[in-house]
Amino acid sequence: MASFRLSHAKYALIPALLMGAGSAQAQTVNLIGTVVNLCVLTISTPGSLAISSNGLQLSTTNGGLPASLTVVATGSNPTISFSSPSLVGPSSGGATTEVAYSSTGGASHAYDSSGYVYAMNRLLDTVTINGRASNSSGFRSGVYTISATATCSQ
Amino acid sequence: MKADLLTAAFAILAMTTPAGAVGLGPLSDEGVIDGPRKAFSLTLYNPYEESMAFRAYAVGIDNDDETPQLRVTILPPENRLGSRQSRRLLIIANDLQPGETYRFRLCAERVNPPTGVVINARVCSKLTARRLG
Repeated sequence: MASFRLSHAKYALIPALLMGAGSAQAQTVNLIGTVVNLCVLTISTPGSLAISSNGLQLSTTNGGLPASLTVVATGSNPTISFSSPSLVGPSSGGATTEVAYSSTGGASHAYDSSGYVYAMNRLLDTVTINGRASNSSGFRSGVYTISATATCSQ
Repeated sequence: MKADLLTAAFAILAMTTPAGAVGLGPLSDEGVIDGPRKAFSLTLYNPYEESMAFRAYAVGIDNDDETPQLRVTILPPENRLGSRQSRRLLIIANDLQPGETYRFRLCAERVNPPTGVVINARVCSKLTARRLG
């Protein structure tokens, strides 16, 4: 019985202590973090080429697959510079190589053999990259690669 | 020739090799010093799910200037980072002349970009070192 009364007394004290502490020792809690301007480029889909039925064009659209480049930036909007595309393979000589870029964030560049600079207006975006190579003499058997360098900078 | 073309259709690439990716920051930095050397600190990040080797190198400041910058020391120039790991790089611009402003880009990419991938990803930071006159 004595124990029961003591417990009640303890519980009655708790709200009073909390109120007293709150009014006399107000504290500001600061959670501080720094966002550094950083850029992460990820080729989320590598992309693949397939040859057209007439054998004159390698493309990501003739049964191939476009590449996807995901850009994650913090701090400030970056610029993505794509170099001119090049074709490597047994019949690369004499071929015309072109790449096209598009994204929901605003990248838009039709098939072209020159480079492309995409000034992002957001921090996150995914760029879809299509490529094609044309050769009026056709393509010998082998592995072909259309390559370009994507550089994230400010 | 037709047989070659058909063979090509099958030989040509299901490019399923690991993708290219890299993270680097900050994307720009600048500093003033009263001596011939100025150091910067950058953070290299591995966004892969696996351990990966990266290299860092200095080139000219313009976006199309790939001239190697021999005045720049990078410590370390190559790194193997675990999955989702980052590490600091020490970048030192050397031989600064009194009153000189030296600008360059510090770029990072995979040591061995995968073959067959259409896009080789790299990130470049623009750095400016100025020595007091």
